[in-house]
Amino acid sequence: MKSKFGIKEVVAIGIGTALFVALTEIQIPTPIPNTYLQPRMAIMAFLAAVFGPIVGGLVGLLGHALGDAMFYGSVWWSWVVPEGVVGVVIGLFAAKYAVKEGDFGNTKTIVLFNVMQVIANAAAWILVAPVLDIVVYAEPANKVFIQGVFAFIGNILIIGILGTLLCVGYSKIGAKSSSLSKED
Amino acid sequence: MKLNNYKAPLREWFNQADRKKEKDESVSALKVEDLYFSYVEGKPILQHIHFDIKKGEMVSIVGKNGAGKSTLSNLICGFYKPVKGRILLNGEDVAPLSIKERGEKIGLVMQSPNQMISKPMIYEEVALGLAVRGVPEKEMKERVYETLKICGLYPFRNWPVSALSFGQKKRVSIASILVMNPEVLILDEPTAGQDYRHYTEIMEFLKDINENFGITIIMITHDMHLMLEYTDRAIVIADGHLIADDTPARILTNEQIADKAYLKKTSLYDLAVNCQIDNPSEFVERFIAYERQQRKLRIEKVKENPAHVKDIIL
Amino acid sequence: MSKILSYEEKDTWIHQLSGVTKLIFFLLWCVVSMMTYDTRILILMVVFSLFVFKISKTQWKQVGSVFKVVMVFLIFNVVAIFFFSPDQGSHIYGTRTVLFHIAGRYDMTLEQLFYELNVVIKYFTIIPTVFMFLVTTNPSEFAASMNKVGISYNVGYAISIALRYIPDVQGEFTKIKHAQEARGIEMSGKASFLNRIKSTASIIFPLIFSSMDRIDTVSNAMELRGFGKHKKRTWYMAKKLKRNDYLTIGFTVIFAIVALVFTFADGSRFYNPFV
Repeated sequence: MKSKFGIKEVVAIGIGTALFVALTEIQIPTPIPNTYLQPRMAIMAFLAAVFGPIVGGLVGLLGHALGDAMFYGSVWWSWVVPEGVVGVVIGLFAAKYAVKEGDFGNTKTIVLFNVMQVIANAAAWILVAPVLDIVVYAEPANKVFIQGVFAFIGNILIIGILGTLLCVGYSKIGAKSSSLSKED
Repeated sequence: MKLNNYKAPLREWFNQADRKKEKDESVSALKVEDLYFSYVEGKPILQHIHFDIKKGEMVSIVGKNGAGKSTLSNLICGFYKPVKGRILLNGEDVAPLSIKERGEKIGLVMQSPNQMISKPMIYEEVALGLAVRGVPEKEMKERVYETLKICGLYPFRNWPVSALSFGQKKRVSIASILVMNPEVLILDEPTAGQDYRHYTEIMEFLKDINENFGITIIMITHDMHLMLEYTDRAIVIADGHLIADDTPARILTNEQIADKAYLKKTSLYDLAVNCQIDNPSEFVERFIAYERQQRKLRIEKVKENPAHVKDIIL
Repeated sequence: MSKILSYEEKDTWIHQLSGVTKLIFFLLWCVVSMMTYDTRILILMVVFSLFVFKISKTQWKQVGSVFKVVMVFLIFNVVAIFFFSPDQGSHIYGTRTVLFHIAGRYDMTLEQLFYELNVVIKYFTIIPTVFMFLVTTNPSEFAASMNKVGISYNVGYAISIALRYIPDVQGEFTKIKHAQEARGIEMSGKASFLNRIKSTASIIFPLIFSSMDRIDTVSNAMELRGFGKHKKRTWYMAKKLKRNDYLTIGFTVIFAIVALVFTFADGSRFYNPFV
C-alpha cells in the first residue's frame, strides 16, 4: 500500500481527534485498583491500523493534549508524547493489517496487531513516559515506573479486547456480498 | 390563479366526498401531565406539556428544530427525569421504572439506524433485546423470525447488516424494537433523508402495524407531509410549549398556530377559501383522506404488476 | 457550569489576540515551566498567569468544575509522590531536615515539603494559562490563523475539524448510550467487568462506524470543493498579526530566555535554599 497522505487522512485526523477527546471521560474500572480502561485508546489503535502511523500518531498527540486541556485544565506533556508513540508504532503495519480491505479477520493479522500494540504500549508507558516524567518533572523514579506499568497493563487490555474487536468488526463490513442470496 | 371555472365542481366534490370516520373513545396509552423540564434552573426546555394519547392512535409531535420535541421523547423514555409533572403508561406512573424496564414497554427508534445497530448480523441485531433479557433460544428464534416476517426482512435473515440499503437498515432498527412487543412505539424523524418511494414504504408499513396490531405510534417530526398524510392527530410544540393538539388539517389551516410553529399553511386551504367552500379545514381533511385512498390503490396496483411503479412516482 | 472548557466570546485585548499568538505563548510558557525548578521564577509565573487570567475576564462558572477535577489529580499526585519517595526532596537538595516522624522510613522533611510545594506551584503556572487559552480562542480563527504563520493548512484543517466535531461526538455517544440502555444493555456498575466491556463495545461500535462514514462524507465534500489542489488557500476567519500580537510574542520569547538563563546560571535547574 502506497503511503499516501491526502484529504481523507486529514479528515481522519480531525474526526479521530474529536473521537479521542470526546471519550476522555469514559473509563471502565477494573478489578485492579486504580487501573481504568480507556476505550479511547482502542479507537486510536483502530484508526492507526486503518489509516497508518501519521494519522495514528497525530490522533494520539493532538487528542491527548486537547483532551487533557479541555477536561482537566492542564496538559501533561510527558504523557502526551507517549500517546503519539503508541499511534505511530501500531500504525506502522497498517498495510499488513488490511482492515479496510476486509482481511483482518484471520489469526495472523490479529496476532500481528496485538504484538505491535504490546510493543507500542511498552515503549510508550514503561520507557518514554517515565523517562520524560523524571527528566522533565523531576518526579521520583519508582513512582513513575509503577504508574507506567499500570498504564501499560490497562492499555494493552483495552486495545487487545476492544481494539481487536473493532478491527475485526469493521473488516467484516467490507465483506464480499456477492455470495448472499435471499431465502424464503 | 383563475378559479372561476373550478369553483362549482370543487364544491360539488366536497359535498360528496367521504367524511372521516370518528374514532371511538378508548383507553389511555400514554399520558403526560403538566410536564416541566430544564437542564439549567431558570431556562426551561419544556413547560406545561399535557396530552393523552389513546391506545391504537397514530400521532405526530411536530415543531421546528429546537422546540423541545426530542427532549420530550427523552423524558418519556426515562433518559432524563422531569423536574415537574408525571408520565403515565396505561394509567400508571412510569417514574419508578428504570430505562431498561421502560424500554420494554415504550420502544424508541432513533433517527439514524447507524446509531442503533451494533451487531454485524441482522438476526443478532434484532435478537439483541431478547438475548440481553435471557429469553430462551427457542422462543427468541420464534419471535425474531416473526418480527422479521412482519418487517419484510425474513428473506434476509442470515445476511449481514452491511449488505442492506438505508431503508432496509431502518426496518431492521424498527424490527429490533418491535421484537420486544412494546405497547408504544416512538419514532424520531422516521423519514429523514429518504426519497418519496422509501418514505412511502416505511410509512405504509407503520400504518399497517398500527392498524393490524394496535400498537400506539408516535412520530416526532418536522415533516408536514407526514403529519398530514399519515396521522390523524398532531401535537404542536413551539418554544417548549404545547400550542395545539388537533387534527393536522385544522392545525395547518390555523394561521396563528401554523406561524408560531413555523409550519406552512397548506395551499389547499387557500384553494378552498378562494373557491368559497364553507369549511376549508374540513375540505383539506377530506382531500387528504381521498389522496390516501388513491395512493393505496396505486400501491396495490404496483404490487400486482411492478411495471406500474411509474404511476406512483408522480 | 460546563464540564469542559470552551470558547466564549468577550471583548478583552486577550480575546483580540490571534489564536496563534496565544498558542505560542502557551507552548513557550509550558516549556519554561517544565524546565525550571527555580521557585522564584515559578512563583513569578504563577502571579503572571493569574494576572492574565484576570484580564481575560473569565468567570468562575466557566472553569470551576474543571478546576475541581484537576485539584483531585493534583492532590493524588502529591500524595503518591510522597508515598513512593518521601526522600526525593533530600535527594535533590542535598540536606535532610526532619520535621517530624511518621512511621517506618517515612519522615516529613523540610526538603520534601519544599519539593512538593514546587510541584504544586508548577501546576498553577499552567492551569490558568490553559483556561485562558481555551476560553478566549475562537476555534475557527485558531485554525485559520495557524496557516497564516506558515503551518501547513492540513494541520490547521485537521484541528478545526476536530474542534468542530467534539460536541457532535459527545452528543452522539450519549444518544447511542441511551438507546442501548433502553434495549437493556446495562451500563451501570452492577455489571461484571467483562460485561461492562461488552456494553461499552455496543456503544463504541455504532459510534465508530458512523464516524468512519462521516470521514468519507466530509472528505468527499472537501474534495469536491477543490481542497488540496493548490499549495495555498485563503481563509475566511484568519486574523492578521497586529501590534499586540508581536508585542506578546516578543515578551514571551524574552521572558523565556531570561527565565531559563536565570534558572541555569548556577548550573542547576533547582533553586536550592538549603545550601
